[in-house]
Amino acid sequence: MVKKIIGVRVVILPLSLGIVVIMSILFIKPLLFQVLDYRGSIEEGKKQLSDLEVQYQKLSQLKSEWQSMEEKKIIEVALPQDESVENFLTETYQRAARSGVIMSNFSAKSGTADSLCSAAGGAAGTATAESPSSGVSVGDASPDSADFQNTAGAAGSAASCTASVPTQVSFSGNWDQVLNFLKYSTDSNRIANLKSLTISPKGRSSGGVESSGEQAPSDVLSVVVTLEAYYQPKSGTSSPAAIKALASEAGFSENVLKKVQEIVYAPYEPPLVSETGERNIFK
Amino acid sequence: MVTNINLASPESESKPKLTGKTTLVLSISLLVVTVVVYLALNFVSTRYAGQKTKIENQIAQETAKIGGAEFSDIADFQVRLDTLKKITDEHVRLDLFLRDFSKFVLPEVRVGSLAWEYEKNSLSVSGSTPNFDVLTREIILLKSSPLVQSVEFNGGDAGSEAGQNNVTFSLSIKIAKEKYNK
Repeated sequence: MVKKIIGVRVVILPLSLGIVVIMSILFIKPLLFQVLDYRGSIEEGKKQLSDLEVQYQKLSQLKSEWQSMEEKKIIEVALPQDESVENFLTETYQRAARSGVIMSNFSAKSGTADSLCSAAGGAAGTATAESPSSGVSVGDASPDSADFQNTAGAAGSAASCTASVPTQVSFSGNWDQVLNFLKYSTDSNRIANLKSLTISPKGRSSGGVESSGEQAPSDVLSVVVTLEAYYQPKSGTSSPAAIKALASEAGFSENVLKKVQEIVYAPYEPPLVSETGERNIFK
Repeated sequence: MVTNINLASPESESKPKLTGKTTLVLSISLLVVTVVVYLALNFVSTRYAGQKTKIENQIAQETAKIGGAEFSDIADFQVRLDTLKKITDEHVRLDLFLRDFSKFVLPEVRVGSLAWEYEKNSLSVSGSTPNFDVLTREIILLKSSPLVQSVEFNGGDAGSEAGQNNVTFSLSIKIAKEKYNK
């Protein structure tokens, strides 16, 4: 009996202590870490959820502001969703008529504005090849002309890239009229960037050498300009980068809106010829 | 022979009473406490796991709501503004530039052709002057112009025919881009 009691005392306590230690190491410790990990994740998740709710509120507010924004229409016209070459032709033709130049040729084909590929809200556009999928050529530069050939097909450019419509316009007019047209074309509602310009007096070769001896300088100048108009197809899904920017910053990019308005609503400035030394350099 | 007898505390009373029963109870208590701790942690862990899943689902819902069709219009608008920023950065007021440039062309110089390219940032000018002296002065004037970065003289040729402007020339001019990116 005495031996039995001594045996219980010697074996059971160390055995139970051993079991406790093993259970602690094998089960309790990992479980404890798991609980701590869950707690950390829950705290983080709650914070993230709270941020998302704030973002949602902010975006809802921005949306209601956007719905009543007047600038919305300006932006839609400045950077349309499709090529809208016919609208660009109409606007260019009107501006040519207003500035007094005679437009003789208008040709456009679609392409991709390589430099603007990354601009679409951080979208990773890679298309760089010029797409010959569509083109417009106008012989006598009249929007309702029978020569108007619009061969526009499918939008050939990557949606993530801003597509461009390189347009070549030929016209003639005097120095002031040419300057006027250049001003009007850069202040157009659909924003187009001037890429190249060639001016020569009418009747001269491109080298500028008179065809036959010394002639009286012509008032009429022949001009060829390359304008690049842009369009951006609407994306069906929200750009995460744009959403992030909208939610984190103070709403829409006000400075861009202001700049676009400055371009579109630029007041008419008559050319200040001669008063401060400017002159027709072709005379 | 001296014999010491401890009368204050008998040996049998000073020893702890760790009986077999006490040991058994202690052991079982230890095991029970361990099991209770394990079960409690397991319960908390299961509860936290449920909470975590719930929050993750809520986050996924909110994210889908924000990135979905509801705000696609304003996201598209912002993307357009970003694009327009790049476009307007390349916007050129060439009429103002030409007006300014004409101030640096001498009255005796007659420009025959002018070709400008944005990508190359260059202006090619050819024309005629009465003599080489005027042409030299014109090049010096252009080089001093704040609109111009560099002027490369491509050649001048005095024709055999007598006339007012019989020296033809060709210049390649690099333009200071900020001067027409107004």
